[in-house]
Amino acid sequence: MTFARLTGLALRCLVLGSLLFVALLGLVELSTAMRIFRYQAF
Amino acid sequence: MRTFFREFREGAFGPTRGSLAGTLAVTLVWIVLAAVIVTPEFLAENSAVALNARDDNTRITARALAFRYSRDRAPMVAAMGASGFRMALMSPDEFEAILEARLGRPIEVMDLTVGGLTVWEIASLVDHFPDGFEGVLLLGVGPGLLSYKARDLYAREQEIRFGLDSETRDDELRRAGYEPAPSTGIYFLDHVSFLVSLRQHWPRLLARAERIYPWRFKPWRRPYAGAEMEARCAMIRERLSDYFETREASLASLDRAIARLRSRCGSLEIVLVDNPRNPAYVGRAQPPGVLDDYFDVMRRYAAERGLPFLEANSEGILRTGDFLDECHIQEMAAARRYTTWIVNRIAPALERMSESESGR
Repeated sequence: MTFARLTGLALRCLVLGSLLFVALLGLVELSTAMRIFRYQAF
Repeated sequence: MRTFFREFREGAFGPTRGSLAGTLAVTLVWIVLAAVIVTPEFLAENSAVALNARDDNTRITARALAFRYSRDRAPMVAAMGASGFRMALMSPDEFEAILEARLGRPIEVMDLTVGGLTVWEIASLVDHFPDGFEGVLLLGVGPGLLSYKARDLYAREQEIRFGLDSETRDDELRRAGYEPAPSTGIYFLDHVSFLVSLRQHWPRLLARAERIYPWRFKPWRRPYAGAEMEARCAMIRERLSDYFETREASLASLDRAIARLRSRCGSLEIVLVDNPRNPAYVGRAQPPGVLDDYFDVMRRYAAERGLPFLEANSEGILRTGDFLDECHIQEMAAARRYTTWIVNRIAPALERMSESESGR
C-alpha cells in the first residue's frame, strides 16, 4: 500500500471513527430522553 | 501529483478491508481518551463550574466530588436542601463572611443545595462528605421532601441530575424494588448519560476556564400574585397530595442517610431547618392538614434523635414581601437576615468544635 493510499485510509478512519463516537454519545442522550419520558412523573 | 491524489482518493473512498477495523479502533481511542481525562478528580478540580444561576446539577456534582476529595478537616458548614432553602441562603462567600463576622475566624461553607432535592439525592450527597468531616450540616426540610413516592423518586433518578456514585442511594433503590444501574468502575462509562448532558460545559471544562459562581440574588421576575399565585398554590398542593402516604418511608430513608453520614464523620452536628414559607400563603399552598402534621412529625423526629429543628416562620423571621412565591425568597436583604439568623443559631456548636480542635 502506498503512502498516499495509507493517508487517505487513515483520514477516513479518523473521520468515521470520530463520527461513530459522537453518534454513540447521541444514542446515549436519546436513550436518556426516552427513559425520562417513560418514567415522567413530574 | 496526480497519482498521489488518485491513490489518496482510493484510500479515502475506495473499498478497503482495513477501514472498518480502523474506524472502530479510532472510536475506541476516543472512548479510552475520554475515560482517562474525564474522571471524578477532573470534575472536582472544576468544582464551581456552572452555566448560569439555575444550572444546579453540574455545580452540585462537581462540588460534591470536590468535597469528597478535600483534605481540609477544619470545622465547616455544609448546607443541603431544595430550592426554597437554596434561595434563602446567601452565596457561600457571603455566608462565610457572616460566619467570620460572628465567630471571628474563617469557616468554610459547602453549598449542596439543589432545586427539587429528594431523599435519594440526599443519600447520594451524604456519601460525598469527606471521611472524618467535622462541622455542621444544615438540612433544609419541608413537606415537599417527604412527598415523593418511590416511583417519583425513581423517575427523578432517570433524569440523571448528578454524576455521583453512591452506595447509600443504591441501597435505597434496592429497598424500593429497583435495580441500580450496573457499574464498570470507570467514571466516564458509568456516568456517560450525565456527561453527555454537560456538552455545553465541555469547552470550558477542557480549557480549565476561570471558575464562576453565579450571583443568585438577581431578581428573576416580579412576585407571583392573584390568579397566577393561586394556580401556583394549586400546583404545589397537587405535588404534596401523596404526603400522608409517603412521609414515613421518606423519614426512614432520611434516617438511613443520616446514620450513614454519622458513621463516617467526626464531630457532626445535624441541624434540621424548616424551609422558608411565605406567611401570606401558609396553609394555602398545602392540602388540608399537611402542614400541621408535618410540624408534629418533624418536631417529634428531631426531638427523638436529639437534632435541633429551626423554624424561621415560627420565629417571625420572614415577611411576605421577601418572597417570589409561596416558598422562594428573592430579596437579598431577606436572605441576609435568614442566613444571619441561622449563623446565630449554629455559632455555639461551631465554637465548641473549634475549642475541641484547638485542644487536640
